[in-house]
Amino acid sequence: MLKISRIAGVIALLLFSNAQYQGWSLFTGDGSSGSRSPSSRGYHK
Amino acid sequence: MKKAQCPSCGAPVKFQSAASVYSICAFCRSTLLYDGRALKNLGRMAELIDDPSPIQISTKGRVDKKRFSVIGRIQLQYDAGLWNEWHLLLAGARSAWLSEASGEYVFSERASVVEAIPDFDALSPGMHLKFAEIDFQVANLVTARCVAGQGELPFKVDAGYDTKTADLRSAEGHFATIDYSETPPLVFLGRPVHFDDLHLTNLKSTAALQYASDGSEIKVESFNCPHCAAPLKIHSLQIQSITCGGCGSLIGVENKKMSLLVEAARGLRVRPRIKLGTRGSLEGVEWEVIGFLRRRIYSEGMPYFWDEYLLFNGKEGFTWLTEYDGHWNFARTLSSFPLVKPGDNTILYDKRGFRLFSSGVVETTYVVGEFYWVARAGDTCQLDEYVSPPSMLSRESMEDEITWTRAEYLEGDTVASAFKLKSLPKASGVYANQPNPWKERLGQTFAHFLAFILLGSVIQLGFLFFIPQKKFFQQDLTIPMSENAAMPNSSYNVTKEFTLPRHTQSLTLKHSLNIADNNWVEVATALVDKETGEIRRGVQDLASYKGERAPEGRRVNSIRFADIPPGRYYMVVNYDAGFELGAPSQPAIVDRVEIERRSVAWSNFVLLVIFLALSPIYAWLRHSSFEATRWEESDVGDDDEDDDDDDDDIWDDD
Repeated sequence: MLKISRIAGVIALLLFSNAQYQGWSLFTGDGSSGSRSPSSRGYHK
Repeated sequence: MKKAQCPSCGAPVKFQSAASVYSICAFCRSTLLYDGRALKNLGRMAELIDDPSPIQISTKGRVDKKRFSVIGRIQLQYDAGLWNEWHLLLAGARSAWLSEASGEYVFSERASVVEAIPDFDALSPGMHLKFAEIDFQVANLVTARCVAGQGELPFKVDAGYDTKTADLRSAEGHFATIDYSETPPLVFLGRPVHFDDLHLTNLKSTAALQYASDGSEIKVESFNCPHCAAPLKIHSLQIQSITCGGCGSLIGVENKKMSLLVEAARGLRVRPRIKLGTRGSLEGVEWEVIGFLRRRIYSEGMPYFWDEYLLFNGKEGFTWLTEYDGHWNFARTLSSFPLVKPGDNTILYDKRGFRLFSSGVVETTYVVGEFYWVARAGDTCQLDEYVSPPSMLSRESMEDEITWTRAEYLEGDTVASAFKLKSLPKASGVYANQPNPWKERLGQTFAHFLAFILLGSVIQLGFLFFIPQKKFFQQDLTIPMSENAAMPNSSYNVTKEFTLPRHTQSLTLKHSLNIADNNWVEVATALVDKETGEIRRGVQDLASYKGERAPEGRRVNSIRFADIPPGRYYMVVNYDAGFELGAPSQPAIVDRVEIERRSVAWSNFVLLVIFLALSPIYAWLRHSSFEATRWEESDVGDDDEDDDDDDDDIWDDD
């Protein structure tokens, strides 16, 4: 159990670090995945 | 030193101690009194009983830094056997005493005490007394008969005189004896001493064999049962009784003489898991199983049985191995008594707290083998057990005596390995002092949790420091509103340009609108890279309903754009706004548009903490479940419950 706990803790830290780097947040939506847009990106002439 | 000649036989007589006024002539055993001028013959002293003591007159030793020489002895007899009080000569011609009983040695000196000494009849086992600022408990009340004296003594000894003594013990290992043979009673204070710590020299030569270090050199006496002639052994002359394994007869042992006490008292035959005579090594000492008891206690009307094995080693003496439902304990009798006040459910001993687990009357239901007291089936005592896993303190209270033992939990595999047994039944359930396997794991998982939280905190602080919050753009846009509720208002705004100086992993777009009650706005934002023409889109719905107005009347919504390269940008914002029928009209809505790089989210850190806490929470639940199972077996109950305190019976004398 201790081994699993350590591995899970390391993975959690890695995920946490990535989430912070990417700027993810529970309370902020992702603008790139707007539901009403047919595509998230396009080009403006 | 004074020297003289025995008036009876002319043999030389010495008085080494200034306290000695009596001496028993070593040749004719005349009791001689020195009255300051001459020796007077008071009569012949009775013969001493041959006993296994290794000590003799002229044995020398040392206790702490006090060197002593043995100059006299009083031999006493009580219902549990013989004991010796050795008269010692210390430096400065001072006297001291070394008590020797059942393999225990106690060094003591006479003390003057200011406290009142209770009458012997007023004492009861467990009673608290204080001498020389030390808290004692009465351990033993003995009425003994003097057998004989030897050597130099500070008082006259008459064979056959009865003496009453009370032994007291303290929690710190102090020992006291009150000798009621004189008026006022004499008090002696001291402490138990291990045989090795006496550093004895000039011992009896025959005793050396009995006290060999590994016990294998023990000279074992063999004889036949007086009832069925089955072969029996005595491992030590401290043995007071043997129960024949063949016919169940109880045989008393006194001065190497056997007497049949109870004839063929065999009813129920119990087979010990470890046979008598089996040898094994525990705690680095070689032990031999010499006795077996089965005992019974009732709890809530149900009988519970357990077994006790008496182990013997010539040097270490006696110890116990107990077994209940596959759970084993290795137990030793204590010289120092834990301090227990009436009504206490917890006691402090050896810097640990022990909690009362069970209390009740115990009966011995089966006996076989050798014991250092006359052990009979049917013997009863009050048993109180206090636990602090893996240890347990047991107090056995009888009419005239209290004994304490300390037991340490042993795994069945350890016992099987020690005594070279093929197998033993597996332990069932949770025992009173069984160590909690989750205790260590709980500590370790909590340590891991703290370590990971610390690392997480360092990472969080690192992000906060190296990626601080920064605002790149802010502009207020106005959305005109019509009064026609049936038609939503649409408008289109293009913001000013702004610059992102460097690559940004995460950019937050925030709209803050002052929406009146029951109005709504749908915002579609396109973030346009002026150089490349790349567009990133986001849609947000904002609304305000009665009773949910945000502070300052604004509604705020944020979305995130990821992986934004440096460059010049502007935004195209489309609004679709409307209001419910009957809602107050709002001439225009102002939208504060902000683009910023947010500092790292604390919500992720909270999620990390929650996730990491799962492991110690799981370990804590398992730990608690184990403890709950343990205490379900207790007949004492929780801390909050008040006990009826049947224990009070041992404190109430009358």
